[in-house]
Amino acid sequence: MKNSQLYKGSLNTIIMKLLEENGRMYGYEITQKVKLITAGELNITEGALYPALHKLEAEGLLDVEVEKVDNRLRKYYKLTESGQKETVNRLAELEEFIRNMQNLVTPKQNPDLQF
Amino acid sequence: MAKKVSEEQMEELFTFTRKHFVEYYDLQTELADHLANAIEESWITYPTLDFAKAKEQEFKKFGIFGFMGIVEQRQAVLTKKYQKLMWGYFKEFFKLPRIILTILFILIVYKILSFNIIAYSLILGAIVLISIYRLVTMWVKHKQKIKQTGKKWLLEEIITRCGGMIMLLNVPAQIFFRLTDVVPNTIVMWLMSIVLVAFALYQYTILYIIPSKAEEHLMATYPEYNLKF
Repeated sequence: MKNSQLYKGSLNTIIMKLLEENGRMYGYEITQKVKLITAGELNITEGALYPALHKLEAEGLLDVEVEKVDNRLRKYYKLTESGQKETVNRLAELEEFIRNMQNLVTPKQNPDLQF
Repeated sequence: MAKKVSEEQMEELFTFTRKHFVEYYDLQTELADHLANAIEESWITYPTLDFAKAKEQEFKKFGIFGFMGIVEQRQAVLTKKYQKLMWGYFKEFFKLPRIILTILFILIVYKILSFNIIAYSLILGAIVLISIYRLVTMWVKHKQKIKQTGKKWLLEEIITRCGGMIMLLNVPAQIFFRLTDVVPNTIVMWLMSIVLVAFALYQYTILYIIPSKAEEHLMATYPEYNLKF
């Protein structure tokens, strides 16, 4: 993943957000969707994606469905009810983080000090 | 029409995951499908690209440790799930109505110990022998099932291995050795009774209750468990 240290903490939220928008998705589809949205800027590695999906599943935030597609089985992930609630919380947290980072990186000028 | 991975190539991908230390069917399915998708995607741009080359290219994206990290993390996640299950069932013995039976067992063991303290090692020995017998029979059955079906499920293996927690067999024995220096008074004997009963219930949970509900948990974990394919 590009700039992994910065993106690492947000991987679960990215996955949950995508599932919230798309209903259900399979692993490869998630990697491609992220690439597409970020115009290739962000590349989720397979080694990070699957452990994250399995952990979210074990936490009860994701549910799995298996379907036969072409000549093979495909595992789809979708948000559970608690997963949907948690997505809202995590997105709010992430937005707050982005706002704070923006304020820190580009602080607004204090109008009192302006002439 | 877009070029698709054939059935034979799919088999090759399964063999490939097995060769790279993915023993479990659920992970093999997911990773083989991932590789197949990636290969088909690269065929859109390079239709003449050789299957083996495309496969190697995609595998490289998993990093130098290949699938190993994914397998290890899956093991950690499912072991945690098993432990949660185990504590859930074990705790039932300390809640109403079962706690009445648990207290009754403790009282009976206390009575036996008051009669002769040697009974502690006899009861303990019996539990250990029964546990070992059960563990061996479970393992043999498990191996036979894998041979028959050709599929290995991680959670099933964890259940058969009792989550590796069979090592706790040693704990009551250690307690006994520490208590041999202490003059067996009422408190010590109550303590010994509680330890013995808790140990027996724990062994019963991991060796009888969970394995008897294994199918139910496997179906809940793996939607593909009962799929005929």
